[in-house]
Amino acid sequence: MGRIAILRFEWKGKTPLHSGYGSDFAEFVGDIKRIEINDKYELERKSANLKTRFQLGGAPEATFLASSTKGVFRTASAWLVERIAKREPGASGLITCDYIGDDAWKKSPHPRKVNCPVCQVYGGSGCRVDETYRSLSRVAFTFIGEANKSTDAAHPSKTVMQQKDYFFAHEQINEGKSEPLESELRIEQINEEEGKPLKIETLSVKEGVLFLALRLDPADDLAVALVCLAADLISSGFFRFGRFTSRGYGVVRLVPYKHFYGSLSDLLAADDDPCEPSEVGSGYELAKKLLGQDPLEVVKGAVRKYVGSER
Amino acid sequence: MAAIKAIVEGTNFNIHCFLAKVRTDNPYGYLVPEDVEKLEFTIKGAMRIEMNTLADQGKYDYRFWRRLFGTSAGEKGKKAKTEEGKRRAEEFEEQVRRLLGKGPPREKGRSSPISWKSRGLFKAFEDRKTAGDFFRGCPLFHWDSMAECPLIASIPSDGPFLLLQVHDVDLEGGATFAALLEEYLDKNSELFELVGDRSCRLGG
Repeated sequence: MGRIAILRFEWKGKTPLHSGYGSDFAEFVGDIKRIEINDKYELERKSANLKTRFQLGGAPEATFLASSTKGVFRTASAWLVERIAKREPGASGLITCDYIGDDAWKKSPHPRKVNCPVCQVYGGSGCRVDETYRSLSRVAFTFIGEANKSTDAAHPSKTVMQQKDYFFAHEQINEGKSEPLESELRIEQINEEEGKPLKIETLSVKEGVLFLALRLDPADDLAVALVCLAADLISSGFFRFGRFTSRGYGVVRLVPYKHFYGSLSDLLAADDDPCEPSEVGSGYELAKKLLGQDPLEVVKGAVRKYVGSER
Repeated sequence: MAAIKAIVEGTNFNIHCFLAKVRTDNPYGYLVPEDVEKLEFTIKGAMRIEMNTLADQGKYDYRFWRRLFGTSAGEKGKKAKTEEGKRRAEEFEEQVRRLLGKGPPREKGRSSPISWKSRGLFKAFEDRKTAGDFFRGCPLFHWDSMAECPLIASIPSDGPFLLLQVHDVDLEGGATFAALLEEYLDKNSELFELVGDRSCRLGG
């Protein structure tokens, strides 16, 4: 019987987190309003958090979706797989459909009869080409937060408004449009109008309250190695959540907290919480503890099967 | 497909961290914001403008700044509204064509229907402690069996500091954007000064 893994990571936000959504829809639901400026009605310069209802009839609350975390984990995993593949002897191209794209798979004269390593873990529609090879995701992402607050799919949060004269790109310095000398460096702005700083809603997540749970079924070695290493890449800040990520937003540390790794019968036999404290400082160490081997070697072993048949 | 290709093209799957400090309190006659969050939101634009200026001064490698910082100049093929916007869109179009080949003819007045995503994190810290805490929280040093991130030893005693975390990109002629960024911070920036850098080995 295959193994099941439950990996709980403590969610430690290191920088502001902004979920955001399209300004058209935000205006439609009243999150962003039109204000009168110089006899014209313009959208206020604000980026609003995504909101959803957590109770029937309840007011919409700012939220962050668990599905967003899956996307970031997958992106980090695909990047790592491609990095490892590129360094293998004889490598000549890309091996994941995340990087190759639909067209290349479809045009390939000899479509591969297995999914790419990333689709094997995160699911995929036969690497987007052949329905025969569709596979379900082996990993599910859920939030565990304050009692009666989080749902499997989303974590509600209080909103904090950031309003600190944030501006976007408009070239002042090299175009001679600079403000008077000794004014504060404020290069980033959309237009020259004063009094229109960008307001950004951010999510307030209290430390020690929110956990991200990954459930892997079946939890084969590649899946465990890949999600644990992806958690480290996310914690490093190289892969981030939400919007404004290149301006310091969305950095989250995922610290291993508790885990279960065993069979379904072990899980059913557990009295209460089947998970034990992880007591390690990184996803790398957690995977090494669970698998009994270097998780990077596990991914390398899986990747080698694809090298030589790249697109 | 074009968008995916634009994101993938040139990526060399290396990651680099650069630690820098602000070189002057009065760059170009401006004051550097005291609020570290304001400074953080400013870094990206300031670097982009400096690199654009350097390219105009004949340091042509810097014209590839869009490859690192991203661009929405060609996003969704929107029609540029201003002369500056048209110039940016045309520049971007030229870079895309150089990189990806000729491609379909561009509709008059519209830019290329693709965009490049930003490949960097630009983070500011107010002092040595906050910078150290951030680096100590990065778990990647475990992959290389190290006791801690070597960049921690590079943190100077007085702030503010900037961290630039970038996904590196290959440039024409065998150069990389990480090497260009190092040169920029070390020699060419009027705003920033390099104090340390590291390329993560990620286990090999």
